[in-house]
Amino acid sequence: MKIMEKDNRLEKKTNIILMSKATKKRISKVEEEIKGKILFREKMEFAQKTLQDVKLPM
Amino acid sequence: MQKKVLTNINLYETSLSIENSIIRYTFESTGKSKLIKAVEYSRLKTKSGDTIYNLGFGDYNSEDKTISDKENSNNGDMRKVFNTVLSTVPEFFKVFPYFPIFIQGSDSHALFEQECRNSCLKKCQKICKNKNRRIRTYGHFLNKNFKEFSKNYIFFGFNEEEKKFVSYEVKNKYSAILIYKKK
Repeated sequence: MKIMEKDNRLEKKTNIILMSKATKKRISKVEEEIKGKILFREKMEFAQKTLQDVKLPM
Repeated sequence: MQKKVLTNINLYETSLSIENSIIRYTFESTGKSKLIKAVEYSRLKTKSGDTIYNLGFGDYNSEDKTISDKENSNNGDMRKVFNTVLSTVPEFFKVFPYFPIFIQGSDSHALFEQECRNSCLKKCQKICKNKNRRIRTYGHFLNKNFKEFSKNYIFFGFNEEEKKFVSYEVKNKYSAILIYKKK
């Protein structure tokens, strides 16, 4: 079974689910509403805290 | 003889918007209900002057007209949503190939467990099952595809005890992940 798995060639096919016109319109409205807002303030602060004395590896 | 194994990766189309130092991908999840979701990369300067981009992801809240990463919508299309979030990584690196992406779950902070126990119905005993759940999901997917992803990216995991980034190793647990694009 394992050998068979090894010999199998995995092919990935990406299928993008396209937006309808109505969805595009709805998203455009949402984008306008959230424009200029800081959406993940707490998360940003948390990241800042985690990284405050950390040296990046590269 | 090799046998082809075809895997379909289904993901939602996204809408890109760039605003100052923020890159945002918005899409609609069409699971049990229709929900607008957004993936955001926000620039962050560390104390030592390094620039990273923090990955944020959440659902649109029509009441306060913002995106929240607090809820788990359980919309029945987790795989599609997760594939969509991950599909923005190469897109991000097309715009900013030299900056790393920092991923950390909002459920990984020190006070999360206490907050969770106050309202959670799971009645967990010693370990809060919801703590670090988000980063575990990212880690799980990365572990499954590590070999393939490593062709284009370099991964580091954040070691919480030592407070430092270490080379990512599959099956080890980390509280945050840092991704660089290979040059």
